[in-house]
Formats: sequence, structure tokens, C-alpha cells
Amino acid sequence: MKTKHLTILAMYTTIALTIFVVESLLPTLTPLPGIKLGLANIVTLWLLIYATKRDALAVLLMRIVLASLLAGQMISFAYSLIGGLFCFLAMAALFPLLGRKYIVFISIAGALFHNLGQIVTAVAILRSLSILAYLPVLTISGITAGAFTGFCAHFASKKLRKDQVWPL
Amino acid sequence: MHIMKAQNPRGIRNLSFQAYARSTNKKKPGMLLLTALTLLLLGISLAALFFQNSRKAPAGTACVYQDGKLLCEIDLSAVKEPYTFVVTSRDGGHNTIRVERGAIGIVDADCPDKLCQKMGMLKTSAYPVSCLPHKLLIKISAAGGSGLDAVAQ
Repeated sequence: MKTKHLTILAMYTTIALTIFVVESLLPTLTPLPGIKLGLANIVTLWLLIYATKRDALAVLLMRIVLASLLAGQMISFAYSLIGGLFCFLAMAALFPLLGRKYIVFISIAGALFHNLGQIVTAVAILRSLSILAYLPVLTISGITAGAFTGFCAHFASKKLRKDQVWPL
Repeated sequence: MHIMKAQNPRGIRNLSFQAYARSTNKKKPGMLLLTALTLLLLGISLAALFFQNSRKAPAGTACVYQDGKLLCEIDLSAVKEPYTFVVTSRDGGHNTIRVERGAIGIVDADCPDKLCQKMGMLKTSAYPVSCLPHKLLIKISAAGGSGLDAVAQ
């Protein structure tokens, strides 16, 4: 049972990593740092619905570590790790309050906190508050991208039958 | 047969999932409140964005920072010939900065995302240029020292 659990989490990590790599191949819409769809967050949302917070966090952390190994820079690891943790904490706190019906809003909150975490990291690393000028743009992009990712998770969980979801 | 299909299009689906699908279609006051809250936040951000754009002015001076330390200050209005210079970061990365009259930008870099390069040449004081992997930041202040920047100085 434990091996099965581990294997399924590894499969979810593979899905998240694949989504992440495919998304990073898409051309960026604007040259501002931090604007992206964050489609890999679908997997985190999915695991919050169908598994536990612990499983979701494990897959998220593995995805960030492996993605940083693929992209290959320590500094971008710090940005994704802190962004990812902010995002996860917001979503894990909201999920028990709102439930899966509100998955789109949970996703939006996650995206906003992800961007907030990255800006806080940028302020700490660059030691300058002027990077806060990106905050309005990143809020708009966070709401848009979070809503899109949330709807992806929402419709995916509506379409799949229970026997099509890996049991955890 | 047709009527039955129309009544129960999800007949083959698992029951708990069907219940989930039905419950997600129900509009509840919480849904409205959260939508309003999201739209409010979107509105505030758009207003802030318009405020930022209305406040932008032609670039006056540019300050190049690395690791939070001021490397150099360039008066962009006094540039006669365009020139470039290279800033090397502590871990060996480099950014080539191009300076023109009234504009500054990063034209070449060896960071992984190259977002700083894609921002191109900046002619206004609306946004700073940043290269997050190389901890590089170029702040641009308005020409003639107008508005809030002048007060800050």
C-alpha cells in the first residue's frame, strides 16, 4: 500500500513536471518577470481535492526541486520555492474553508500569493522596494492565470469518473 | 430512450461525482461575494496600473544597482553617443547594458530566462528594469524631477 502511494505521487510529480516543462516552452506574453499561467498548479489543486495536503505539498516540493534541476539555477530555485510555498499555504488554508466547489477562487488566491511571495523574494534579494512597481500587473495576471488554472482543475474533476482518478 | 438520455445525460457517471457536478452549478451567496471580491481586486489593480501609466515621464537619470549596492548613476539626457557596458555578477553572469539619449536597457545577458533583455530599451520612468537571476536592477527616474520622484529626491 505504501509503495503504491509513493508510486502514484511520483506519477503526479511527473505530470506536474511535464506540464511545467511544456509551459516553459510557450513564448512569454510580456517581458515582466513572474507573469505565467502556472498550469502545474492544476496538479496541486487536484491533490487538494482527491488526496491530502501532505501529498499535495510533497508533489509540489518535488516538482520545484526537479524543475530547478532542469532549468538549472540556484537563484530561480529560491523564487519558485518561496512562491510555491506562499501559494500552497494560501490554498491549503482556504481549501477546508471553501471546499472543492470554490476551487477557482482557491486557485486565484494561490496565484496571487505565489506572485506576492516572488515579489517579497525579489525585494529581499535586490534590496530595493522599486520592484513593487510590478505589483498591479502581477495582481491582474495572477487573477487571470489563477482563474484559468482553477477552471482547468474544475472541469477536469467534473469530466473524470471516480474510477479514472488514481486512488490515494 | 431519447427522453431518458436527456433527463440523465450523466447516467454512466459515478454518483458522488454527479452530485459534485450538480453542486458546482448551484449559485450560492458565497460564490457571488467571492466573485465581487475578485472583481474589486482586479479593479483596484487596473486603477493602480492606469495611475502608474499616467504618472510616467521621459527617463531622466538611471541608477544601476547590483546586490542592492549602487554601481553607477547615468544622466540619460546628457548622453551624446550611445554606448554599452558589461556588468558582471558575483557568480560570473553578465549583463550588457546599452545607454542612449533618453533610454536605457539590457541588450545581452546570460541569465536563463533573458526577461531583462526582452524588456528592451526603456524610455520612461514607469518600471524599473530587473534581472532577478543576476540581482541587477536599473531604476529610472523622471526627467526634470517632476511629480512624486522629485519629492522623494
